[in-house]
Amino acid sequence: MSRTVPATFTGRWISSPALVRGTRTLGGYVLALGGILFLNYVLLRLLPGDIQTVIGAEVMTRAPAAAPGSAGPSSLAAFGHYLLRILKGEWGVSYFFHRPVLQVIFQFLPWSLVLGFLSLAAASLLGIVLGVEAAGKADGWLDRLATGGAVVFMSLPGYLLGILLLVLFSILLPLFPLSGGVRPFTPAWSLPFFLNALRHLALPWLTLTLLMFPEYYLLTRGGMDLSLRRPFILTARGKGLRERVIRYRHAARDTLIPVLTRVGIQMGHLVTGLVFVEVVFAYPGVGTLAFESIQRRDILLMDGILLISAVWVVLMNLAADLLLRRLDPRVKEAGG
Amino acid sequence: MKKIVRWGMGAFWLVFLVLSSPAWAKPLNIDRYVIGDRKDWGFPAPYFHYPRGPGYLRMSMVFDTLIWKDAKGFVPMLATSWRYEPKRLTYTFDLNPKARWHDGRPVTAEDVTFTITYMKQHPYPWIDLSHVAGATAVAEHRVVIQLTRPYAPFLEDVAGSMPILPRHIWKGTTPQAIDRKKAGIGCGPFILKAYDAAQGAYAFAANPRYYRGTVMVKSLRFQKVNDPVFALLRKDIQAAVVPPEAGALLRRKGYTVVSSPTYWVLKLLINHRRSPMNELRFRRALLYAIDRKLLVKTVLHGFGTVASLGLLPPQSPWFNPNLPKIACDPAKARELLKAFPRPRPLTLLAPGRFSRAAERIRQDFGRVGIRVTVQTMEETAIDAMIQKGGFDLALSGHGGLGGDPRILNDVIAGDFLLSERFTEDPRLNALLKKNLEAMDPKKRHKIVDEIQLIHARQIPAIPLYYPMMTVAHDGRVPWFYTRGGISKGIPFPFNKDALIRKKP
Repeated sequence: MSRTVPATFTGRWISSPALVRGTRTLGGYVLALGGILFLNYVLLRLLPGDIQTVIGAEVMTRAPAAAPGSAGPSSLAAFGHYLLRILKGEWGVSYFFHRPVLQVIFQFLPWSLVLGFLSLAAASLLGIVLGVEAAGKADGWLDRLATGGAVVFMSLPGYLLGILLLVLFSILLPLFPLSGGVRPFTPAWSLPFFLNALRHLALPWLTLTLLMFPEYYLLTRGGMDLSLRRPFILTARGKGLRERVIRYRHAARDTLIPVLTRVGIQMGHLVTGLVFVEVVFAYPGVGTLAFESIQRRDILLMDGILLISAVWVVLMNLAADLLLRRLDPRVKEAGG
Repeated sequence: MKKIVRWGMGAFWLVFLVLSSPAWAKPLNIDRYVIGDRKDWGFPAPYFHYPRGPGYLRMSMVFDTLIWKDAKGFVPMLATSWRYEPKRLTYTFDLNPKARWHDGRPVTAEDVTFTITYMKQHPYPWIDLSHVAGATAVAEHRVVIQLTRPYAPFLEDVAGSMPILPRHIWKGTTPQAIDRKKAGIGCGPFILKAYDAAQGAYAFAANPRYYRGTVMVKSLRFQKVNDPVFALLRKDIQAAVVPPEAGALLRRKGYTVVSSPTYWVLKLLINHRRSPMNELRFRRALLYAIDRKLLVKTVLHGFGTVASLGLLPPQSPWFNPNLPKIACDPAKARELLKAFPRPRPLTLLAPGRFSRAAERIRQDFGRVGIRVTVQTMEETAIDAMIQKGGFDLALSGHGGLGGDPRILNDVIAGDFLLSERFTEDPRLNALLKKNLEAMDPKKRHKIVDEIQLIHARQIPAIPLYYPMMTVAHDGRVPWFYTRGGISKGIPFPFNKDALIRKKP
């Protein structure tokens, strides 16, 4: 039996509130992306000095009259041309690396993403689990220890913690490598490569995890405090559910919404937001690449990094948004 | 008799000890040597490396030039001999017939003529060929380079700096289109094995057929590290530039620590086209107001020296020792400032790394009644403002002061971006012109002396200090400081000649 499409389907489909909300959300994100790209484009070109300034400031060199990879003019028409170029996949060639911008970015991006994802995953997991456990035994030893630790790590400047760990585990106890992402020239995709990369990852990962976990811990801990006093928890207890089930399945779920929002926001920062840890550990990453590209006025590379970073931020926010709608029906109903 | 036997035994032991000492018994042969650095400097080939000293240095391991410099001055490299013919304005170079590219092909005069033509077509930022008309290969291993006019810095700027390109690889292609694997083929002592931009790592292997001698390090690496001192302590690297303050610690740990001038100067640039800085008296007041000794003490912690008012440091063979030495004298500054009853407040631009020096100078000026606001900005932004003349005072530095005194032309009145742009003194202008054309070193010395003297008197900018550079290494390689710096004045001791046992 063949199904026929009702005459009114198209009309209903178009007027469906879910679709309207979806289109509105998506439209908002596209607009935000456009706005970010425009700002990036204009601000980069407003920076005083260009590649020729950077080369010309070295007394031993002569800046060529027209340096390849220069930024070009800044106007609305030029922005349109730039967007067209981007869409066609013509991202230009980095002046410093003399290679296509995308190739350069993709040489650095995996390092940032691996470090960022693993740290974020560990920090959020640690924060959530400690928060739930500490709230279950308020004022117990775990609560005190975790809260104290969170306050300490939150108030420590990131680079200081990095240097402390470096001195402790790389100099005094030489357990981990001092810097870099992997021992140079280890054949890629081999077992020694992965093992060596993991050893190099350990300290930057630990630093980031320790720095990020307090936020998740305090959010969860505070949320759990409120949730555990809610009537539905009383009901659950009255039903005779085990304490662990009550904490994790009922109270924690209620607490998870702001935590996930935070994860979404931090995910957006993974591409370019890890500069300090990349500098302290000389870890290859897009953050340092972006920083040095600005210093060198390698504008086309900067354009590329900011574009990828902007798309990434928007995508991560969208993902967090969708996840929230799925987890919390109130968000879905509010159409937010 | 006993005496003879005793003396004989003594002589025997002396000869034995000398012959069995490591230097004789075992020629320097190092399997692996790693030099640490904080940055990556780009692919080590002409056109590809970042156009700064460390980038050139890495490239120079792979590519040779016509001549080179050691601790005493120019030495043969690809060219075994050279001569200048003043009447015809030509330099003739006889090439070493044993020189081979890394792919086995011979290096010929055609490669040199090709390099000059190619670099004229595709300007390479490191080399200025505006004084070269062209080159002719008169024999397989003899090349004649024609100048457009006498050009005194030719040997250092061109013959001693221009990497020779293999014609068979670069012909018919552009720097943008060339195959990167082939672009790394040179004729230098090291063969480029690998480069990893993400890790900032370079791997070079000794060239077994190097025409000038035996390369004593089998595997040479440059490696980006976060902290060279930590990396040395862990023995991850064998040599690096380190902060001078770490010198004592590293010496205690057994490292050879050497300090040397950087041939770099920090200057207070004065916009002498603006009032009141256009008045010599005001500029002199500024000079008397600054306590440059205190600046060295507080900013450099003593690891540096007060700069000569003629710009060239005492370690330069062109330094004029008879310049006026002006010490800080606030009373004299106040006296000079009486002619300017109400000087307007001035702005001092300073990159973040010089903010301490800027604050010190602000205090010094405040002491004599000159009001200064310090504006700390990003360095390239300041450079752009200096280029446009949009500043009162600015802190800016440059290197290259150890090499050819052509540098004075560039930094005093030339088209160098951070030039003092001082063209108001006709005598100075004439001398600067002569500085480039005087082929007789004695005559040139006099010219350079006078240029320094005029600079010291006119004060178009105030040279503040020369910082020291400290290098620590494990002592296995006899690194040395190149006279006037590598190429056009790169101050590092990592001269490739230290790694070669030359053929007699």
